[in-house]
Amino acid sequence: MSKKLENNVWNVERCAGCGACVVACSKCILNFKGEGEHPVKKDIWKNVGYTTSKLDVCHFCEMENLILCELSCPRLVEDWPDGPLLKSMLVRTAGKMKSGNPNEVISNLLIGAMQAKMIDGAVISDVDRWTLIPHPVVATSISDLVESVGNQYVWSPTLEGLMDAVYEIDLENVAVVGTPCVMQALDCIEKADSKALRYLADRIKLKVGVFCSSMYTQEALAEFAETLKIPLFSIQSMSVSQKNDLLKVVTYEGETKETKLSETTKLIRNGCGRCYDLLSEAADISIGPIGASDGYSVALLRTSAGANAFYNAVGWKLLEGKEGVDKKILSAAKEAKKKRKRAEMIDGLSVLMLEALRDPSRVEEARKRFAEIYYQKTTGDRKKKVVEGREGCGTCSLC
Amino acid sequence: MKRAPDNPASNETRIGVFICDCGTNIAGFVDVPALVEYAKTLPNVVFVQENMYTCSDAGITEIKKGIKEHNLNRVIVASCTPRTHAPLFMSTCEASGLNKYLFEFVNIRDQCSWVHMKEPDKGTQKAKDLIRMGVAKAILLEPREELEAPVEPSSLVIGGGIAGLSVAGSLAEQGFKVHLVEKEKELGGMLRFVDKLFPNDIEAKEVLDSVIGKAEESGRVTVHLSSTVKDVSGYIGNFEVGIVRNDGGTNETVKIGTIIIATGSEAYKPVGLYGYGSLPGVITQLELEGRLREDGLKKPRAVVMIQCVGARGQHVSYCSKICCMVALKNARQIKKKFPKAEIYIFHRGMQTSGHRNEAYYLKAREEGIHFIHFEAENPPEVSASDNQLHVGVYSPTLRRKVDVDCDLVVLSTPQVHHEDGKQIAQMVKVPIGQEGFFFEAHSKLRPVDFATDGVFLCGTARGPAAVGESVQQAFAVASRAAIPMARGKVGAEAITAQVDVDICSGCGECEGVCPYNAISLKTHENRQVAEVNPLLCKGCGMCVPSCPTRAIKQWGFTDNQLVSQVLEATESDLALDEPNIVGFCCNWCSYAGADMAGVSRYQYPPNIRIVRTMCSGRVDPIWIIRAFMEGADGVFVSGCHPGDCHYITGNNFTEERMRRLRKSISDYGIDPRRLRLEWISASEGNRFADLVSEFTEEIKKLGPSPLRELKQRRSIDVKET
Repeated sequence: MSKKLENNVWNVERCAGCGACVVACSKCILNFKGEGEHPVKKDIWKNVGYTTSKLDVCHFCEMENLILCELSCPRLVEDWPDGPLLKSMLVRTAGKMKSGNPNEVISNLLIGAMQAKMIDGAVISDVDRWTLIPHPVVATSISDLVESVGNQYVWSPTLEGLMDAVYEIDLENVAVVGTPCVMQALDCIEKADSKALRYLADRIKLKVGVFCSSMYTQEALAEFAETLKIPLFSIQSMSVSQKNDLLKVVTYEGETKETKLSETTKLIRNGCGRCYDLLSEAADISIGPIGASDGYSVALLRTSAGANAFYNAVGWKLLEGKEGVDKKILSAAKEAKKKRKRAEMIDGLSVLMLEALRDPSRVEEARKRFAEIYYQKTTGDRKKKVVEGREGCGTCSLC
Repeated sequence: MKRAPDNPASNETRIGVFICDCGTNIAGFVDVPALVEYAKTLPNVVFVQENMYTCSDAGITEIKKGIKEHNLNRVIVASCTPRTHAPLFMSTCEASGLNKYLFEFVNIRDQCSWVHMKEPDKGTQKAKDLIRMGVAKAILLEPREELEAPVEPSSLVIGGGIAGLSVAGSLAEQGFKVHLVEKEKELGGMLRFVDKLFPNDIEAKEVLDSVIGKAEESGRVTVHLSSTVKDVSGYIGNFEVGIVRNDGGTNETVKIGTIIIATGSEAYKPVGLYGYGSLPGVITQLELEGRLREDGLKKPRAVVMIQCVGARGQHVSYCSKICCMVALKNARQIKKKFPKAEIYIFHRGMQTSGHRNEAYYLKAREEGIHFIHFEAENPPEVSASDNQLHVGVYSPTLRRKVDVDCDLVVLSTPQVHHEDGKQIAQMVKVPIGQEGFFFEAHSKLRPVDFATDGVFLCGTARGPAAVGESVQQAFAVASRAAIPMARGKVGAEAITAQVDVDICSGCGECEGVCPYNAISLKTHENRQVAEVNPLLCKGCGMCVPSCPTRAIKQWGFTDNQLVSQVLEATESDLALDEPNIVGFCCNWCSYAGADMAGVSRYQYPPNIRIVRTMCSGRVDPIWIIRAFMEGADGVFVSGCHPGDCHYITGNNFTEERMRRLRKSISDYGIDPRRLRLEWISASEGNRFADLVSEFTEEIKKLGPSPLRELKQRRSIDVKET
């Protein structure tokens, strides 16, 4: 684990918790077992004769200057541009159910891909039936896919699942379903110039991104249950409406409980506060509810891999698509989340300034960036930019 | 190479600088004419004047004349300290038609001439730097209007016990309307179950009746029985509160100006301890009071009272402070009724502090009540046989076991917090301490206030208290709560924070930081954004560095203004062997401490240039990195001592931020000793001087920072070419 990861990501609460570094680390010394939102480094002790000494494992990566955890971290990439977009479609599951729930749509998309032998496994999310805490699982059969619950509002270290899929089960063709940060991490892994990461990247065939505004911490559920005065295990489903400032919880008894969404913000992961990607720009196909009409989800086909998987599922009569995405709402929501880009810029600025302390040749660059960020904002009398058509849900992903 | 200005000012900015001699206080140690000449060379300065005493009538007239004749739109006075004289000069500006927030103060006496008496040249150089910093900030000043809101002259009192009733009565007497909400069917709270009150042994009922009578006869108290409070919204002066009837009556919504929490406490029920709940004849003091009150006590042969049941390390950690007196009182009552009854009090040290209570205790001894000390490790054991209770305990004083047969065991249990407290705390947004009691803003200076304006606290909801103390607190609250209501309006100094909704990402980080609950998330154009209520905002600015997008601006202490001061501080022409130190001081403690060093003439090296913020929590780590980047050799951040922060929690954030920053800069090649965080109170002038001297020495030993060396070298290169 490099100093850079510690200083520029973990200590400044930017960690996305995607788990990319955990998978990438060739020495397997990172895990999520510590407190806090970021991975922690396991101490490795070595017996030398009668003494035991701590091994500086990271030294090996640093020696070759091929620091895998750094290369895979999406938060160390300065700017994430908008991704490609081939086509945007309204989509729902075909057959009797005709569900527009994004998780159902993703499930059917993967079933199609598996039936067509495009993939032989997928890293997806499931929840512990007792604690309701989500965790990544590797689905290697259609029944696995059907049984899993899918992405919820609560964070889980998705890419830990990739470790199992590639190194344990040894799958050749893997699909990964995840939040935008996971998609970005996979992008980092694919673009890295490293043999070890190439081994991973070669097996990732399909990246399915969900729309995501931010994730709650794993402790949040228990907190919700306490505020709403219901036992934790009675939570059947949750839904969020940014527009009405409501977090709704449906219990197994059929009751609907509500709380104010704005009061739950403190339960959001800190690392999510810095992410400005709503629509999984780095994915092959992004799926989410924003901009969809009733009973549908929106699918954004970004790459040929994504489009292939989509039309394959349509061909298997698992999904049905149609035109009619409300692009105004979609782009308004995307812009709203992009507000957070400034937070990322300010973090970048302090890192740049710190680097200038060591390397004074960058002082001028840092000064310029400082002026750009600080003196452009003027409070108060700026003309309000009214974004047209921003009627639907503002920033959330799964309402 | 000179740094290009970050903020080029427009030509319309016309600054007047008034430099004060303060008799010889300044002019005796600093070359004021040189300062005048220097100030004339600064950007946008169109008028500079030296005054003998700027704060005198003559000086004030000069400022007014200057503003008029030179068409000034910014005024700087370089003299003593803003802590004493800023209001005077601000009102002078106002009287001349200039917005008072376009005034800036430069402290060249308390923090310059008085503390560098032996080094006039260096002192003059520092004064020049300070004036330059002042000009840099003044260029960026913006006019502001102060806000005002009316205050509804009525109160909501939650809890109809002795404390709540006393507040209600007192406020009503002062002419304010009061809504008194009590969840039970009748008024009186815990006092309804009490027999007599120590130390005068008066009937609790009498006290209660007189307080209720007083509240009722005023005609201004509306009592809501069997009711609870729901949905509290608004802010000081303008709360809106829903009162819900628990017995099916009609609910009400009332508008009120202040909220008083007097929800009281409960007596702890020690189920499972000393046979309570299983052995008949084992009761609590409160149950005994009931029997005494209704004459329901059968003649006992012997009674044992056990103190500290569930308190001091068992169920609760604290001493409930009144139970020893309650036990004494009840023991004496029993003795009075049944003189032949033997009464034993098993205690862990009798707490009878106070000028009347000790005498009460001695009387009890004279009357023949037995006191037996026991230790927490060897608590008494209670058993029963043949309709008789046995209590045995090892007494360390007698060095043997004491066995007593009795027919009544009375357990003294502590006052513990109400379970509904948490709900009320959430609703009104006030804190609850570790023990479950409500938590006041400051244990000494604001003992009955909450940090949230317009919300007050009294009685046993605040912690264990006897009736007399509860009533004292109630009267204290009544006079505190009357202040905004009598004034009729609330206002705020216009140094409040404001959120730029176009930048805010609605993350909610600031909401958790604000100790005054002034920030809340609102829906704006279909997305969440933070909003600051300027009437609740106290202007500490600790939310600003917490904002990931820096979407918050603190008026009068904006990032731009303070950064430009930091930049000017690092532009000083100090020789390379003289450390360049940037200081950050919070207005209330450390800046006042620096002033105190001046007043006491404690001398320290003239290397530090101080930037004033309202709270050390306003200091943004980014500025400090910038200061180091621009060649500062050291940065000295100071605030109030932990626990003494004027803004309650500001220095906690400072500590955490500086800890992290120290680690970051050391990873990037700056010695962490170059960043110092110290706590200095307003009275610790000598401490300030000592710390600054020591810090300057340390930096001297460390040598100039690598960036400063480079900067100096470059500027020499430029001169030579």
